[in-house]
Amino acid sequence: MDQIKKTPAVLVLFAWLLVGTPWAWGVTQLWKNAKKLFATPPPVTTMAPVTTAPAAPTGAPAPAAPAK
Amino acid sequence: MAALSFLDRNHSIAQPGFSRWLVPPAALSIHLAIGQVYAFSVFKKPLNYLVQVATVGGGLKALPGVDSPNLADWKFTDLGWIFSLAIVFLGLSAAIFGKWLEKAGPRKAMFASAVCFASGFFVSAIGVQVHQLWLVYLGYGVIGGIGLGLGYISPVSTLIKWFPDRPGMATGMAIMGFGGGALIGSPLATNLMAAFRTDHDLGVGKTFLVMGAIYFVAMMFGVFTVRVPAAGWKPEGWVAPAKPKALITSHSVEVNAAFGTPQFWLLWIVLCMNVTAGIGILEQASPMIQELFKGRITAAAAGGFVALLSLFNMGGRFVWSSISDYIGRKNTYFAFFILGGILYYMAPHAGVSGWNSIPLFVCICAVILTMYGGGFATVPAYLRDLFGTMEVGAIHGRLLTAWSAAGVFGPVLVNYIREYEKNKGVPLADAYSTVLYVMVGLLMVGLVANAMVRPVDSKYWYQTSEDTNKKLATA
Repeated sequence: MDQIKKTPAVLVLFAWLLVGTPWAWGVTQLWKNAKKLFATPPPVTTMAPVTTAPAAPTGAPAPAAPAK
Repeated sequence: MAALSFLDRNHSIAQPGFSRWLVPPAALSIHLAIGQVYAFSVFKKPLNYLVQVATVGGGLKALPGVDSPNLADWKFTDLGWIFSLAIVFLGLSAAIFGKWLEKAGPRKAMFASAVCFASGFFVSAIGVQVHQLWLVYLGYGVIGGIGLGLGYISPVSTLIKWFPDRPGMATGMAIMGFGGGALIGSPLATNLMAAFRTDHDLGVGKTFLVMGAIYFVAMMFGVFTVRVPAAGWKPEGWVAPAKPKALITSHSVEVNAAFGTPQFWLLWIVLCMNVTAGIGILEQASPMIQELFKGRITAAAAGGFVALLSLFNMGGRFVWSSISDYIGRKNTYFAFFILGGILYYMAPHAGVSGWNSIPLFVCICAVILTMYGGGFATVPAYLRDLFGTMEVGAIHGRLLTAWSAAGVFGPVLVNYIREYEKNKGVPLADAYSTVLYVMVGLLMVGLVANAMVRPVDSKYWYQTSEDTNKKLATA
């Protein structure tokens, strides 16, 4: 009588790794994008009154008003 | 063709000792591949600038706006048809080939799916190279769409047969893969296009070729790994409940007979309403959060919100379908419609004119999206409960027409209501409230349809020769 040949556990693990690895990579990529939701929104830029602050060099963003 | 005889159902029957835990990865390899369709939008902008970049050059820098300045380029509206065609052909092929699949077996169906899906990419690559949009329609839309439909339903009945003790969890795992396919497809396409990009070529054609090859190989893993259980196979130590629950049949219904039952059409309404309502959120997630919390949510943060929702859409597929194994399918859908209705009603109140809470709004939308995904993942097990395992894949294929209908109905409804409200002078934030209240109404229709689901009448049961003999003997 033939002996029942059971699927080796390592083969099952390998199969799961094969599909799990690209999936985990995809989830990591997505999570990087999703994290933007929790990032602090940039403070609203307003026309700051001219003070003693040095002038920004050409092309650089104007100094932002402090967040309220 | 003797060389392809290994695809026959007979050649894929599992030997004793085969681990059933190899079947979900086989199913996942198919669903993770075909789920790429949800990431097709990453190609839209490059496809919109092919001629402009080829003639003027400038690579990525030439993609400033939505529509290319070059009149020879394909328009955004025309490109939208590629995805729509793919989804329509998904529904059609699932409905048409479902019965063939039950006879041919999952291996042959998965192979056919891989051939179609990969060929779709290859034909589209030619279309991009010679700049003929109809070839992309034919490739990705029609041929690829047929591959999507075949691939979507191919592992369903096999998984249900391997996991009679946990059918919801088993099919949920595979269908979660479809939700997760975009997670791989989107960064893969972006990275490949970046690798192939030159000053006069955005690399779309080459990306199509490589993706077709990668997905074909990945799907072959499923083809070679999948097995069907031998007749009468049961999980070790598992005994079928002596007295099955009222809605779980021990009989089977043939696909054409199922098509004529009220239960099929009630489930069609249930799925259609659940999907339409989900699309209501998905379609407008990004503009809605920006309007409801004006000035506090940037476009990038809104993009992050959409990404977060797709994670919950995917997770909900596994979680809800697994829960349905314990609480029953009907109760799971009751939860979708009742809890969903409450959450849809609450969503606009979380905005600045109400509780003014971003975390609350995000949580509400996240839970709603778990139920959208859960609806897709739980329905195969619901069908199995009502119609048995014999042709559940084919029945599922026909039920997917509800998805195609919702895919058209949902966005049209959402956009129509929003336009109507806007034209009336209603502020945009309030127009979203109207859309969400209409969604509550749709969920109530689904609730009623779900409540009306009863066990299938015995006149629809599949009659084996043994049944007929028994009937004749008692007559």
